[in-house]
Amino acid sequence: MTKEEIIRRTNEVFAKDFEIAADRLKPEAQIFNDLGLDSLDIVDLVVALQKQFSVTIRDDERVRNIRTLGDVYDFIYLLGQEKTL
Amino acid sequence: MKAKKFILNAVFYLSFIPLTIVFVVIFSPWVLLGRLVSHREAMRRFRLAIRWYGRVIFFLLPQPFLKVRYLDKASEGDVPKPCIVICNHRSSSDAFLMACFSFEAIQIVNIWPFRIPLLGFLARLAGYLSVNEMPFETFSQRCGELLDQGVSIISFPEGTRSGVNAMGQFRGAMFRIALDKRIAIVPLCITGNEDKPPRGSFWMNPGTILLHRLPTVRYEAFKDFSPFKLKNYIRDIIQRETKLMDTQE
Repeated sequence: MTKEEIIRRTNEVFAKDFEIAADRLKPEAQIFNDLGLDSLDIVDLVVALQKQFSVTIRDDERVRNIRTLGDVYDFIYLLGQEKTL
Repeated sequence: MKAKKFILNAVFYLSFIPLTIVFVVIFSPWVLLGRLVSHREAMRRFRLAIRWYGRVIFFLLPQPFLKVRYLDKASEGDVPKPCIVICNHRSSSDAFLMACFSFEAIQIVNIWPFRIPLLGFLARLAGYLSVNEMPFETFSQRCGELLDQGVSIISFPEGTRSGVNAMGQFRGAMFRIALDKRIAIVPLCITGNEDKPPRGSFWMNPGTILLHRLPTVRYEAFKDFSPFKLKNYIRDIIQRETKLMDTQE
């Protein structure tokens, strides 16, 4: 999957599950401060991303390092790379 | 202005501790007598006493230098009980301002208020909860038990005092509980208290604090919302009103 495809499908999750307007979905947007998600929303986000990309994220320690939307794109991309190896 | 500030702080802090002790001495026997009826009755009395204490401490004691004006913009009579009250949070005085309500309630607080000598102990005893002290499942269960008893819950979902006019993002725990337990939400807007006292200081400043209770948002209105959508919906309502209130001051 290309990075562009990951960005598009990740943004779909934020738009559909969290009803966040497309113009706010910028790579530099902070998940907590700018997009307004909290720790409980992250659980919902993880579930939605797992469903969208058919990956397992829940127990991945790297989730804790995610701060921005760009970090989410990179993380999903990395998971995709690892999956194809 | 400086003289007013001096008198306000002198009167407030010189009276605060003796008044607190007087309240504890007077109301303890009354609350304990309630225990003879039931634990529930004792708790009801205890929370009522806290409400009276808050009214004296913040609505009466700082007069005439610090005024509190409460406006019920709901025009719908009584607040549905139990309910979840959602407030913006600018100052530590918010906890005392909740005495404006006339129904039994507990507050969701951060961990530090529990560390305040005597008041922290009493708050914990009254059933105040900190979402940061327990897993969400336990917190949700404790809130559910209180709501089932008819006790309303007051929450400051920004999680910490902003200290300024801008409002922080909301945390969603109470909104999840509102959805799960089908409980109405009462938005309460507070302005003018960001410097009463300012964050990191004990010095109160003279002026007026405005409290606006907005119309109840009933479960039927948000039953199809996600927790995320609900918290932002309520946040928008409060933000719109506080911006208006800030311009009125």
